[in-house]
Amino acid sequence: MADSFAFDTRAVEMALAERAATLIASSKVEELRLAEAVAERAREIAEPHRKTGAEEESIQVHQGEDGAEVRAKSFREFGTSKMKAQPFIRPAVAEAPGMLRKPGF
Amino acid sequence: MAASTAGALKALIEAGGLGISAHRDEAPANSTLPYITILERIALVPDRSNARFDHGAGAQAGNETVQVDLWERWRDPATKALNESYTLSDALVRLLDGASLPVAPTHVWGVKFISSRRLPPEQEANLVHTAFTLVIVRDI
Repeated sequence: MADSFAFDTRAVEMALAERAATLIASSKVEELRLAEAVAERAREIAEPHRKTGAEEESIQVHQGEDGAEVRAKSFREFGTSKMKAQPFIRPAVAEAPGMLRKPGF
Repeated sequence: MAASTAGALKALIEAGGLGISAHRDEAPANSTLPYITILERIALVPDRSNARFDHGAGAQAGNETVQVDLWERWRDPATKALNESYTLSDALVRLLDGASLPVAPTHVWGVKFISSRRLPPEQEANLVHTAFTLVIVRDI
């Protein structure tokens, strides 16, 4: 007849929770770095079409509960019937996977 | 064979049974609404994850970001009744998403619909503008 055993798993659970918290914190830092890199690239793309500098100034990184995001206010991204689109956010986002591979990102 | 990605998209849209014309960059003056304009190559980024399995000297795959704009009359000028179609945008997405563009200048692996954005109606011009962002996965 087999003996029965009881294990106290609290120490393992605490170690796993600590490791998970470290990974989440680390991924948030990486996400914020990437968002800042995307914002910087968007400012570079917008700059040659500068009229007032409003686009570059409107490109901001926001760190929220769900992660980092890049926001911008501009009609220039999509254009209007009187103004051709001059996208600057979407090209920067398209290049983002390459930024991930750069040292420091 | 179309000379550009925009030309291949134009061929797809005009043969798609939606009854709308498509134009590269901008529509000719006095074009009949609704119509579509296509802004190609917003970005073209190599996609290393789609590299050929044999690592040969074949074409490199890339992702081309494209904007397709749908321009519609907002209100009937005489009656002021809403003139915008509530079904055209979705029909356009169904036509574009997953298309293969056989007349494109390089091999197209597929068209991916990323997002659409209905911009605030331009009241003075009496226009509704919906912008669609696509990614064309194709050989470079």
